[in-house]
Amino acid sequence: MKKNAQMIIVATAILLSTGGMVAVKQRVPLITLDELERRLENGGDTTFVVNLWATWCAPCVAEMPHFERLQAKFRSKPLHVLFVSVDARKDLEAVNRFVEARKLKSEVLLLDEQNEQEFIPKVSPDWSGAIPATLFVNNSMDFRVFKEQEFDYQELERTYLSIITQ
Amino acid sequence: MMGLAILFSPPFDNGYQIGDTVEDFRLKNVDGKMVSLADYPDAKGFIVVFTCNTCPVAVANEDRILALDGNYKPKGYPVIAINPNDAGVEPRESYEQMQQRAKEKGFTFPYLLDPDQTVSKRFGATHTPHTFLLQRTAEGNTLQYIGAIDNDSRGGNPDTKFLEDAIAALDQGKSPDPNTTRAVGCTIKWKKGT
Repeated sequence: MKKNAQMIIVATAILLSTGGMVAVKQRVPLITLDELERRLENGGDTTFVVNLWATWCAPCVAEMPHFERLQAKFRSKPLHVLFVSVDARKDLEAVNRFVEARKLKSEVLLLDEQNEQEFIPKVSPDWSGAIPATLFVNNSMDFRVFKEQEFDYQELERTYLSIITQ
Repeated sequence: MMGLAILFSPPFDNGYQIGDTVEDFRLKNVDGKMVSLADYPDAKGFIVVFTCNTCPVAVANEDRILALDGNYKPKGYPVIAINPNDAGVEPRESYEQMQQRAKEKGFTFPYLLDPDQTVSKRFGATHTPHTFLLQRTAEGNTLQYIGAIDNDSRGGNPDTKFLEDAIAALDQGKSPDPNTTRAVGCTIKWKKGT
């Protein structure tokens, strides 16, 4: 199961690195928080913009195009948008259908964690659990900034730029 | 652990803390009547739930909120539901739609409008559903527990019922442990520019 998930990640990464224009269905892999943290830690100079969302969260769905636009605009920069769904694991198929219907280009993962008392404070001590919420992480630049808020495009770009230029 | 650069104050620094005495409020119920905590002279405490019409997690928790009211109102802890959302931001949170939702679902508890969101801010509510357990003492209604109803807000198969455990602790003269929990929920729709 894990191997499978990793292969999908690799396949997705290849797809993204080739421009992501190939119309291949994105299958959403499960990821534990530890696995996610390892990716963020091993990201080199990449700034990860980790958007926590769910298919049932209307404001999350509304702001997704802004993250896609950010990724597209800064395509030449070491920026990687990750949509991390907090939908229940049993709703994986619904997440897959959603990603397909919305034709999302950024990488989508489903957080494979049940215990909210553990994973919410681990993501950030500042997270009440409300979504949307977004984490900006760059390990080599030593920042991890958490925002429990909705973004419009301008504010998202401004926030991203102000964080990376500090 | 990687270096943390926290540029944002915790969202729940504001609002009541555990042990604080809560100021009474007076808010309009879906039946048109005003409701205050003082209207319940016999209550031992209150289960205050910030919930709404539109958040799927809140809606998925309605049956649990109804069960809490059914079980705990007779034991002295009635549910008081408050909708923190601004209908200007999300029209489906209007008073009329609250009335409709309460009727459809057969709410047995008050479902209150917080039109200027003052009470929601005072409690430091951040999302729906978000519960606050109050205990009536000589000093007033003190806050004893903040957070989730149980440990499976997104599913329906909890193995720990935080809120019920907290009430049981109070009834045994103890302090709830844990007294604060977290759960995934929907951001409150605050009025624009506030």
